[in-house]
Amino acid sequence: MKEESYAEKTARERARAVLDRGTFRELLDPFARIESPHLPIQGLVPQSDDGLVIARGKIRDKDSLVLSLEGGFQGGSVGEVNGAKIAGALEAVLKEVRSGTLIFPVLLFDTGGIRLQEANLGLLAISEIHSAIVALRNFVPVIGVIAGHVGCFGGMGIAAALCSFLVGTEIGRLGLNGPEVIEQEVGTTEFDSRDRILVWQTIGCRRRFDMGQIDKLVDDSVNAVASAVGETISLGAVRAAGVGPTRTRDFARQLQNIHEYPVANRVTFPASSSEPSRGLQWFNALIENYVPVAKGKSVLVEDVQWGNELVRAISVVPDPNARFPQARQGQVGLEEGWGIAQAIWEAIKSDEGKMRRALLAIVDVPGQAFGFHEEAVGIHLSLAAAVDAYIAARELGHPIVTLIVGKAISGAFLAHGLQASEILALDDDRLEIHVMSEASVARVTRRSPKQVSELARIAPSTARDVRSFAELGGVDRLLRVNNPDLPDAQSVESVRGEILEAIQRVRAVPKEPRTRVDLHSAEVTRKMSRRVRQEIETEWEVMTP
Amino acid sequence: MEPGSPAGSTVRVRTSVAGFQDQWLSIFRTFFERHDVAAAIEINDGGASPPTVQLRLEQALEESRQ
Repeated sequence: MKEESYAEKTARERARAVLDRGTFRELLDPFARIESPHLPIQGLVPQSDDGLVIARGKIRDKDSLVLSLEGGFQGGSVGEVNGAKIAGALEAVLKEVRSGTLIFPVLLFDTGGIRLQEANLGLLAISEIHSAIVALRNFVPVIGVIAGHVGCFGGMGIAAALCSFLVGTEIGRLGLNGPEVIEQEVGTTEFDSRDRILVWQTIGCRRRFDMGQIDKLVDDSVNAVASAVGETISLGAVRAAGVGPTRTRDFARQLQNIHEYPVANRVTFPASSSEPSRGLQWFNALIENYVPVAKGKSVLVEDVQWGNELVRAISVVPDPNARFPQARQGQVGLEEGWGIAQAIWEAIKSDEGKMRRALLAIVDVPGQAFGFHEEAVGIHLSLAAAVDAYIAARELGHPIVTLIVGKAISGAFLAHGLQASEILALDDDRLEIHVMSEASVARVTRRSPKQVSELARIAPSTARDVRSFAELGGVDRLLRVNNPDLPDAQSVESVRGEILEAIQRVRAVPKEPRTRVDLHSAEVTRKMSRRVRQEIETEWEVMTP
Repeated sequence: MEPGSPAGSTVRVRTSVAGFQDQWLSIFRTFFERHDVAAAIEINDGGASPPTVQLRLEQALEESRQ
């Protein structure tokens, strides 16, 4: 008899299928009508559950929470509401496991990443999801499943890499940048998105399994997926909080994958932009006496003593000689993600039993590296390693402050900056904070570039300037300086003072990405992020026996 | 689809495709002629055509009776 395909099921059916028969109970179901307010104003029809199912129930008789993304609605993309549903539900589980009640979280991915119509709201939600997954992993294994037709990409590809245990099927794909986006950004010679065989050979779950980036590969059948999830939970229950070393901390194996990868220049690039990198300028200005190493290096790391504070500054800068051509202009690529992670883990280890030093992320990142090689090796994992390290450091008490001096874009920003407790940004028109280039947004959302830029006026989350981002609660303080391109001594002094004050605030009151939702500036702009959490809390209490 | 009020049924359709008003009306006329129910119906068409929605309405009603 032919097995029932798991991929063909809807999100709700998939959630039901992994839960023990008769135990499925949905929170914030379609009749709660908590939908995206951002889609109708852009002429799009919303869905009553915003494409996400939260279900409580039992798996192999163990309390579980299943989050299931609907790939059939807007490509399973993550916006404000479904993002808050995922983050809020994971936060609710975190509260339970911290007080000793074991609940197993299961994420059924089927998503292209951030919903472009809600852009920076999706970006913020995903940073909260990352934070919750890593925090949960200290108590309970977090299980991810990649078995849908969309696959798992963007910030959610990073989220998948952060999971303790990943199950995939041959249908599933996992990566950071989907083939269509790479094709748009770099061209078909880099990655031909219509070449299905090439696509699955490069980023399909079978390939990921062979590389040690997925833990279990099963057939596309309801029974096979449900058994894989069930077995993992039985095992996790025995091992209690069986987190152990995860793939985002497996430097040896993954760095070997990167170093052994034969890079051939598929595309040759014109020499990088003539503008000097602000990330480099500000790093040099803030860290006086810093002697740049002669050989090009894309992740700058230096410790400085400012008064009582030992601060480790980290900046990603252009390196024209980088092995991977797509990461030569300051992008966060394969080597950069692991490089950031290494710098942070080094600080974590050397501060054991001592006062935890502060971490300063100086951010001028034009994006993650878009490339065929990057996807082939697994750039989602490299960025996840950086995300994981930042979160681990924050949880251990390292104050983390981000200073945005230039571009802070998409996955690169998720990996370098967004996990900070405080975010400072220069108050300058040339700062850019967004999730995808206008050309790619236009292609993916089937709009003209002109329509895309006009939308920014009615949907502030799709705007690209720092003030709009600050209005979403994305920035704690905007800093005015004289010359952001070439900072003078006075500006450097005042910015350093601001950084130290931010460090002090964080030492006094620890903060995490989720705290941004409660910022006064987010009261109106993120009201759905707040409402979703309130409603989850209410329904959670009713459901708890 | 939810139970309607004693006063009768309500229908709300959200679609991004304009110009299908007649088709929608004829679908609901047929539906309520065929079934003597009072229902509150909300439809987000998600790109589905009116005939597909008609089929889904029948399915929803059947499911609600089980």
